[in-house]
Amino acid sequence: MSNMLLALLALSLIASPLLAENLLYNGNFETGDLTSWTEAGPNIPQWHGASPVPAQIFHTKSPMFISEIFHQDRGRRIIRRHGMAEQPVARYNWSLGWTRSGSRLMGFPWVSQRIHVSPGKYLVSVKWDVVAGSTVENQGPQTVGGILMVLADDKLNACTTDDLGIRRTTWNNESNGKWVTRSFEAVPLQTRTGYIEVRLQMWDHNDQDIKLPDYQFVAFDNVELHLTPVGPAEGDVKQ
Amino acid sequence: MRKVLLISLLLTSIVIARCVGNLLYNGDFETGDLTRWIPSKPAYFTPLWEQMGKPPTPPQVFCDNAPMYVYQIANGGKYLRRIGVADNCKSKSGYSLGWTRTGGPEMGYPFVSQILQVAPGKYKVDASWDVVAWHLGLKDMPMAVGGIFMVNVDDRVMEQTTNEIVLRRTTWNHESKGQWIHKEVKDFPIETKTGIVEVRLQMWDHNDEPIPESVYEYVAFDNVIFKLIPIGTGTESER
Repeated sequence: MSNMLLALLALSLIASPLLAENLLYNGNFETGDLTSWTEAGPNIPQWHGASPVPAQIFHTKSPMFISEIFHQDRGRRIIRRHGMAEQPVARYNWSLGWTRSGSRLMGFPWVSQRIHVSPGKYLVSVKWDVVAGSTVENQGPQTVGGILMVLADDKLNACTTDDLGIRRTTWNNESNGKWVTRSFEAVPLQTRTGYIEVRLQMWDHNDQDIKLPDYQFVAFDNVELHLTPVGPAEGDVKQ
Repeated sequence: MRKVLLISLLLTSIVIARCVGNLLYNGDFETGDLTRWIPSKPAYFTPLWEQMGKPPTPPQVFCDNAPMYVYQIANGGKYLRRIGVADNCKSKSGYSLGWTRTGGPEMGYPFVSQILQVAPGKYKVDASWDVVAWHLGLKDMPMAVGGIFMVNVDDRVMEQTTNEIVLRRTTWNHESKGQWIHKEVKDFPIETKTGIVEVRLQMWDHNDEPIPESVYEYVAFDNVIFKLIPIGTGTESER
């Protein structure tokens, strides 16, 4: 028994430094595209709702466009560019973001990166930059937010804004259209399958349509994920 | 047997009757998006796509308030990213469709298509479109970049090619010189055995050299009209 404990301790000492590195690739979006990230939409099995506004990788020289959700006379729904979004300015070189004007009806816009580690218990530490805001005057609190989520196992790709693992939301009234740096450390998470999803999501909590040229926005940059193994998983494996 | 023939004839008549007028929906891109147009990308054409190269620079539906982005192909086609705004290419009217490219030449064929179902038979094509093509770095080089209007039928629909199969008209940079020009085809005979007809708009990137970041090439289309005038049914051998 003492040998087993020693072996486990040795394993955790070996694994810790490896997992202490940032486990996300392209978390700063410096490739200039969505390399290693998957954009959610009707292509994922759990999806429900209409297509969301598109994720955009933007730059100071190529800012985001304003995505307008528009319903034509016969009920056809389209998403189209309508002007350039002066806010937000990219954090460093490239950043990731969404804009929305027009109709509020859409599914949840998010991008996610899935990593695979050994099944077990971990302490999760994440650091990221985020901005959320609106050009609408006197916009109320919690109308648009940027969610960072960490999910595991059967919660992967869950089409929701609910807290099913770890969820941190930065609302417009907190960011006020300015970049803020957020972080948390050593939050426990268990994975029985070894699959963990890190998700960046726009939470469009505004139940009003937005008239052009106004729009609301969320953007992320410099996302880092660190895992510290703390022990084996408990309970049945659910895929 | 007579009844079957009668129904077939009736169906044919209905479809042919529908051939009157422009058969394309959203040929002027005034929805502001790619409604009814199918963009070429790997998801649609695997495994054929793998033989033909990397994902192409994306089609963009743009307007003067929200112009095209300059897309750069980086790291041998690994990354495809926006590095600026293509101010030089103004839309023809309202929204237009276009592509831009700078950086490496590694990509598959950028095109969008509409697939039509008509009665099998012989037709004359009447078509017209507005097109612009230009290369900001190779102003004196003929045939550096072109905009192809293409019609394919039957089993050649969606083929990964720039070759002329049924009908191809190319507008090169040295003809357009960065200005919108109007092109048309009159009374061009085609025959379809299955009734499936593809109308394709394609960027022909005829320049194999990398393009420096400071310049780019572009092609755009607008106001595409496509009419079929029936001149007979399919040949005996096809029935």
